[in-house]
Amino acid sequence: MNKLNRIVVCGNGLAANLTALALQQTLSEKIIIELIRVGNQNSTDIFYGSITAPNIYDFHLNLNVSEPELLLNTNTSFCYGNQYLKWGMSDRSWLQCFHLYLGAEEGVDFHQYISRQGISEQKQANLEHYLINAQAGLAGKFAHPPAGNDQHPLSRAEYGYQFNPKEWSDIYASMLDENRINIIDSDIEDIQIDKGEITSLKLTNGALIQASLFIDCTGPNAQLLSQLGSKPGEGRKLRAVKGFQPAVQMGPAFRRIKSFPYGWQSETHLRNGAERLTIYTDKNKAAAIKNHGLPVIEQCRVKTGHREHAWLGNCVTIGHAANVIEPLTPAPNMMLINDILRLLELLPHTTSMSEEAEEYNRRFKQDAENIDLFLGALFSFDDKLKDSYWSDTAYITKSDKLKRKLNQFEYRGRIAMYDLEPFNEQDWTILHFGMARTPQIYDVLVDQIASSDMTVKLNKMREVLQQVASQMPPHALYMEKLLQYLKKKH
Amino acid sequence: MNDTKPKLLKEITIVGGGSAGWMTAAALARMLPTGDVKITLVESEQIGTIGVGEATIPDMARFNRNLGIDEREFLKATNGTFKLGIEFNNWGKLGDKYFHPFGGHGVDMHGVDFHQYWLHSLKAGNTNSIEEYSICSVAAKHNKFVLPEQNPKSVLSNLAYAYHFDATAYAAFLRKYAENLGVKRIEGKIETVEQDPTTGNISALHLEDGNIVKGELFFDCSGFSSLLLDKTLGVKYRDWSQWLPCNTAKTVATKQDGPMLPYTRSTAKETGWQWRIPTQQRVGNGYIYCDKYISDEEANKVLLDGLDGEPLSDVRTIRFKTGCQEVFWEKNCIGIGLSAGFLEPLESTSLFLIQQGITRFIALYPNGELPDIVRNEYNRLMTREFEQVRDFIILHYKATQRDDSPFWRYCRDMEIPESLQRKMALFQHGGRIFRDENELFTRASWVAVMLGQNIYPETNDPILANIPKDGIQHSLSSMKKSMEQITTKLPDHAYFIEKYTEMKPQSGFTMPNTGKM
Repeated sequence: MNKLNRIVVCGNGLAANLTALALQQTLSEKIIIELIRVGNQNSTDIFYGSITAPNIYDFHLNLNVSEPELLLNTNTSFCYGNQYLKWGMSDRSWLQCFHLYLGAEEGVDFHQYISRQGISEQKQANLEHYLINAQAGLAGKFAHPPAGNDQHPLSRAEYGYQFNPKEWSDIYASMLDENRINIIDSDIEDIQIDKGEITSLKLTNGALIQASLFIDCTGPNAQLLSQLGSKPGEGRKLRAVKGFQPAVQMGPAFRRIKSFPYGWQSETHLRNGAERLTIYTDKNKAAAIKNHGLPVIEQCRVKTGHREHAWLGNCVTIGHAANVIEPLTPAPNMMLINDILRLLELLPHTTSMSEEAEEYNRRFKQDAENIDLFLGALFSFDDKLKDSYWSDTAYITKSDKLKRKLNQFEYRGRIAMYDLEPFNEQDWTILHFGMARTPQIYDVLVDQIASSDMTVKLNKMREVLQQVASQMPPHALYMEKLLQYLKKKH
Repeated sequence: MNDTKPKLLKEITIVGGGSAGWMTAAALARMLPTGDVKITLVESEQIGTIGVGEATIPDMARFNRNLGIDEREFLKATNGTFKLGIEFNNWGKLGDKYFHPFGGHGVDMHGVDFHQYWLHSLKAGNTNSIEEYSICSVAAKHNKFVLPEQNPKSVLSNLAYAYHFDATAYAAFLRKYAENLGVKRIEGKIETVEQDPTTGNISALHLEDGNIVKGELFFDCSGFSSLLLDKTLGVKYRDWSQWLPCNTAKTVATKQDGPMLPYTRSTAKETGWQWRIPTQQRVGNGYIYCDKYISDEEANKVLLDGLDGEPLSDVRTIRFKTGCQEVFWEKNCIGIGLSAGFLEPLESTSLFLIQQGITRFIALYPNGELPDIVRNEYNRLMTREFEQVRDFIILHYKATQRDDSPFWRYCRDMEIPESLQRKMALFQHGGRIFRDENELFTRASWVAVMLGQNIYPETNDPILANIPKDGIQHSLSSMKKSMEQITTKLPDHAYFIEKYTEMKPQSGFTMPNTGKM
């Protein structure tokens, strides 16, 4: 059993550069790191989506990637969440924003009081009125949460980013220290395998690369892991095209998603303009391309789903090589971060790594299944269109875990959670309300506060939030002033 | 409200007093909407209580806080003392001693767990045990106690504590509390239980004196007899004795003699283990063993020989089978406490499991229809709770090198649940602990027991190699020094209790004195 002394990362895209950067910032110099830029994953990187969840902030800080650096060097903008417009071609529209704990009154979750109001008035309860970032985002406003003032309504608002994967990949690549990481531009000609482990990679430039651990970031085909017998996930085939519309004025701090019979289309509001992504199935290609309406700058076709094992022998997969997730939520980026954090936690100490692999696979599978629950919840409704994009989603809504979650909410508004879910209780609450799921009954403990008293309180709260939102600057103006400040400072 | 208001539960009946019954009554009376539900507790003075617990874990303070109970009044009423952890003797092997503290060890640095630094430092010649970096362990060793500080920069912010107390006195304390909030107590022995012929639900209890007590929802707090859940509704029991073979406890109280220790002591014996739990006036003692390996007479002797004070009564024998019910909520009946399951009190979890049973119910508080959807979720959550505690307790038996008796050889060699096997293998391999999100026992707890029972990882975290050894040694030394320095300034445990309980209750607390019903 030898000590882990050499790690090879294979790939040429967001996952590979981010993984290499994370290893560079974390590992002892005694461990040699090599990055082999295999192929080019720019086109499939579309499937990392274009928004992140708030947890990217801390993750970046640990890698010395600061927010000013991102804003100054890319067209990144702020993001309060995803706006789903007439989701599923129905009346369901809401801003799926990132929010801290929604609070409780008399030990009962806040949303239960909103449920009671909806049930009593026999109309769809609207949670959005009580979410500061939904109010601000929809009004086109943005501001950072005030530091050190947790009483301010805006302190409950979390934010992520709207980003371009290629730009971020380039930023990560620019931070790689070539004195620390040996970077090779070459494709792989042959992979030597012995007893279920990769012994060496023969590159097209003639080099023979050996390592204790190989990290496969080569995208959905998983060039390395597939040679060890791993099969791709059992999802569905999706196509994506991306276009870009330059703009003088930056759009709001959220990504907008519109439904169509062929699939959906998103507008990501970057600083220099809006990126349009159209997702569709093979059967509706013509309609999708026609409706896309912008010159295609990237396109790809992938099969979604996760592999049974993300780590086999001495090869671990990160990002799309392990799991391709439809970029309808921030989940693809969340999963990429989770992959890297999981790897860092379980980085093998020696060349004997079966324990780490087993635990990694267990947690990978748990993460992948939990993420699918959230996606499944977006497709769990009765009036679905018959078109292939919508009808093909049946497989993702069948999980017993998801059914339990939906049943618990639809019965009495309870948010049932499983261990270590990437989407938190607030995400689920906002999703259920957005999807117009109405509990049959509300939590009886809610009646500790009289309905009339609570109505007064809720009205007051709504007024305060509207007032705060109205006083916030427009997203574009805030960004402009912030960049002026950052340019002076840096 | 209009007619969309759910049909409410109107009558809740609790069967059995004791800790489980009165904790349930008190919590329901405090937390359910005022005046909505009538709560009745049926108990018989002819039937004794088992008095589980006496030692607790830190969650107990939260339960009391939620009831609005002032800590000083609680300590006075129950002869309570503070507890900083558990001292384990002879568990890994004969002569071994380790401390499982409630607070963590040291401070995590650079995103790496403290215990990884400590393991790394052993190679550089550090001879200090990991306990010397825990404020709870250091304070306990010197018999000191103080309440934790709020300032996160203070060493004392890492202090966590629980209680030792007289469980019978606690039940009496909660009885008064609950009755003041309107809970109706009925004295009587249950003769028969009436079920609805259509639904099978429990509809009424017929008492020996002819009284009939009705209810819509029943809590079975009848102890090991599990009068409703088992005997009436026929719920099956999940037997875990293949992993936790002890099946008998001998208990006796002794006079408080010597210093009032702020920790529980658990000493492994040839066929089980003996506890020592100090309250203000007496010490609770018990010997838990498997009767397959030792006779009751011999067990009596082991217990009495292991006492360090004069017994205050005869030795009491309690038989049990470790495990839990297949479901905790069946039809309109919920089992709380011993009627729901039994896990030996090695990690003082008995009262915690009662507490969880109650708080889960309140979180899922159903309407009068008691729908399956609520019942199933309750059962799922409670099953997980029991299994997680079970695994942690099994670890103490499995991770032993003792081979001085057939009992320990059995424990050492037995098959264990896959969930625990995985945790042990990961720690053995690289010192890693992964917990589920809502798991009761913290990483520090798992580390304390794994290391305490001599599971030392084969390799160290490779990320540590990036950090200079001198820096690690310096950080560890300064942590240890600051804990030692602050401990010298702390008051003696007994002195602290004396002064603390003399103080007036905090403003805002009163024993509730107005009925709600």
